[in-house]
Amino acid sequence: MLTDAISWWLPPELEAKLNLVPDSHFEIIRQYEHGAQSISVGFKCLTPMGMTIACEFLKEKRDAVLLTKSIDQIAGALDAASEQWLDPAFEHRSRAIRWISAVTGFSSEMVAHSIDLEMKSSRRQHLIQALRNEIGNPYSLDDFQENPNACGFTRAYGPQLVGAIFSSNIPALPHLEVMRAMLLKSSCIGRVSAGEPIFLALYSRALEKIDPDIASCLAVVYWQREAVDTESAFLNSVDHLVAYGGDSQIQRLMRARPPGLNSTWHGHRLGVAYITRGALSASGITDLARKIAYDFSIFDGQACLCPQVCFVERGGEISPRRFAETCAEQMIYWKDILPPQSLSISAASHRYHTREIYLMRESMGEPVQVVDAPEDLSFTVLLEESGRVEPSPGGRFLRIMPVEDSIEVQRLLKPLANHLQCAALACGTDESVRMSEVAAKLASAGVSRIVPPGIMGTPSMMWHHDGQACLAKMARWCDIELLSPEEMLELGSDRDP
Amino acid sequence: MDLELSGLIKKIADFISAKDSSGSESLFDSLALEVFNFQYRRIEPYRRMCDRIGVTPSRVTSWTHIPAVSTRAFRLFRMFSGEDKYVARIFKSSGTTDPALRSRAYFSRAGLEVMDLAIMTNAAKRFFPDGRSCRLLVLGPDPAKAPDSIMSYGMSRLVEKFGLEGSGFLACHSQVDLELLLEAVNRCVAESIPVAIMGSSFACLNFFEFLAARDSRLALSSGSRLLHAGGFKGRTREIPVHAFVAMASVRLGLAPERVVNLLGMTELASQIYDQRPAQFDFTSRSGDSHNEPAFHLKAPPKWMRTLIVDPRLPGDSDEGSLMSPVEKKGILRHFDLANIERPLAVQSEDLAAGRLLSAAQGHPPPGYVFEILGRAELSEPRGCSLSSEDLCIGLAAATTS
Repeated sequence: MLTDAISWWLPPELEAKLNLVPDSHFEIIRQYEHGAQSISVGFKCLTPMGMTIACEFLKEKRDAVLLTKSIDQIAGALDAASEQWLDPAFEHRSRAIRWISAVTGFSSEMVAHSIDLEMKSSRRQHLIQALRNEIGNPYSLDDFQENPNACGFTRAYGPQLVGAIFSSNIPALPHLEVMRAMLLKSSCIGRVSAGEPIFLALYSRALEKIDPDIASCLAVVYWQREAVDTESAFLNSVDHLVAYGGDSQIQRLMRARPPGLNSTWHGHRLGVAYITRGALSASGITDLARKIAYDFSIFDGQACLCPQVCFVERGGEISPRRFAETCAEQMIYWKDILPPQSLSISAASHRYHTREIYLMRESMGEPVQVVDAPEDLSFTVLLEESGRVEPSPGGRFLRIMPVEDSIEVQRLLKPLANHLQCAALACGTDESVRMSEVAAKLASAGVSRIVPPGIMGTPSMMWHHDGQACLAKMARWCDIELLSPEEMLELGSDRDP
Repeated sequence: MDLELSGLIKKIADFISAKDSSGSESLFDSLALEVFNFQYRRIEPYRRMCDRIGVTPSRVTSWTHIPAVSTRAFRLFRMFSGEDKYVARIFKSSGTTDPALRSRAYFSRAGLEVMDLAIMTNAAKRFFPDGRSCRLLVLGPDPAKAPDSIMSYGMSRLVEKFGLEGSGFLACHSQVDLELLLEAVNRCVAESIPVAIMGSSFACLNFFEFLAARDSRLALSSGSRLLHAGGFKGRTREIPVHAFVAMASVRLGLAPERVVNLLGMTELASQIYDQRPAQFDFTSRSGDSHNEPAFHLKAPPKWMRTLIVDPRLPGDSDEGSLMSPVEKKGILRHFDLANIERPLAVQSEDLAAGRLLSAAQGHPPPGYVFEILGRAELSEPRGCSLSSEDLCIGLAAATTS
């Protein structure tokens, strides 16, 4: 079947195997349209039998191939892949930008930028550092390593097969899970999201050119929502599940998976920004507003990393209103550099009505000010004192809430504890004590990542994603203990504790 | 007594009743501007909105520029020109149990009379053009049981004006209800009385399926017809219009032109019917063969205009849109002169595709005829940022677990 783009990847050996088995897979085509752009994408759907065959194959490959590779080799291959993707001349890059833009409606500038952000945080150093951060000695995945904390040696193993279910339309997001699996020497089978089914297939093809062995431990497939039997075969074949999705999807999978299946969940999230009064100086305001506007513009506000509300303390040199106005100017600045997503009529209608109602609420004296909301629906900047934090309607929606202090913010964030993720925190140069205090409040509220404004969209691989040690979670350990604990203590009196 | 209001009501009632439609266009325009002027002064949330966006009566010279109010505003604000003491009736939209999310439409006694006139005049032209009375069987609750429902109210007006003896409201949910309905229909057939079955599209479909389960094929008497309202928006079942019409034909023996669809909204006093089919051609989008029966396009009555607005294009509501490409997709914006005490210009969230027809094409009044495609729902793939839908689901799960 000839389509403009494809969403799947199978190692050639596996593809040949499946082609020999009737009823192991079939293909479907989805058409995507955004304004003038139209693209057809092919999906390879596995049947339960095909899924079983694929998973068996990948597990065998993991043992035969990945276990024989060193961490350095694997990190090297993944690094080479990242480097390739950062090269503007790389053919798959321009293809990905074109296709992902056509599928998602994100501007090609935004797609290119997203790829850059992802790949720049996926270099060799980051990969090794991520392992070090969670596993300790990365080379314990190669062999027994001396354990400095005990008297003996430790070795780590990843699962045989990681199964990943992706959702959402954020460009290039899935490759993070492939890297995590590979770093633990696990094979990976992923179900792409219909929202962005392009990147992983191209990533896999590029990886094959770099290291076909490693690429043979990866499969990128699909199954339809109704195909519960295929999903069941998947859940019963993998050794670790990583699932992205909204609350209902995650709850459903929690019930559907076999009880013993270790899982990592990445649900939908709400990000925040917090500006203390010390950060609101006249001299720094434009720069700060530019960074905040950037954070609210990347991924057109649709990624879990994105902020949905900006708390601004009253009493600074610059008022929350003045800050909002400056942010509005900077939203226009970013509009030029990262053009907004093209909208369907439905999505535009939703924004249109939302905008109308905000204008009416403002004119009826409710505590909301529409600082800027252009008629082209490209962004909204509001100043709101509603006393409640709610998810925003989507898009580049900068909701500024004037607050007294972090105690108030902690109270406001309480109902959203399970859904918090990233926070941008800006403090004055002389506010180091306040910074600790606010950070502590945010962290206890449930935030898992605190950054200065301007980098909300670029988490490192060392971040405990959604508060979880994602690599460590998938590992199992073997320890060789040469001494008893009592003996260790006797030995320890000569050493530094 | 509100003299200004009664003066306006009289002018509009005359306009609605007038048999002669020549000069309609300029008269519609001047009436619309008069009503806008009145509403600007009398409906506070509307005035404030107009001021906020800088579009006031002194700056509006054509009905196409009258600021339209989002249907969502009817849930949040009191969109009524009169004082509380004049309110005779309040209709509320259905579809949600949360009272805070229901649109409210306020009517004075006189306002109800105008609506009655609009309902009857429209139905006479579009549903009873042959002037025949029928026994009206309404599938749905009568106004006593559903006092909030503007649809029940409208149906009761039709029963009063056009219904032969034996007309009435029938429940249509349970098997027992449907059997009683079947009995009532069979009585009409036995007595050779034309029957008009009226109800929501879903209720009618239920009845067709009930008949199909028994392999019943009724042959309704000549003059019988069917009116279904609402379509299949936002539900799990969806069948294309032509399939619905085909079922009506098989199960009830009704010719396609006897199956008429109606668009009604709590926010509008007037309804929009299918124009009489087979007069206008509409190329099918999906490339269906020419053997498909003609799509039933909707055409507003002469005291209404409907624009198809593309919300992605700023300012896509002005005269330019009347010159725009022949077929257009967008959301419907209605201008209803019978909405005198409530904003006449209403922006809906209904997605539609339509065609602009001019007077030259024998279509008075000029404007869009359109087919409704559904609601502008956010069903496309989105990101992983938390949305309010996520929270609702989470809350529901927490309370059930």
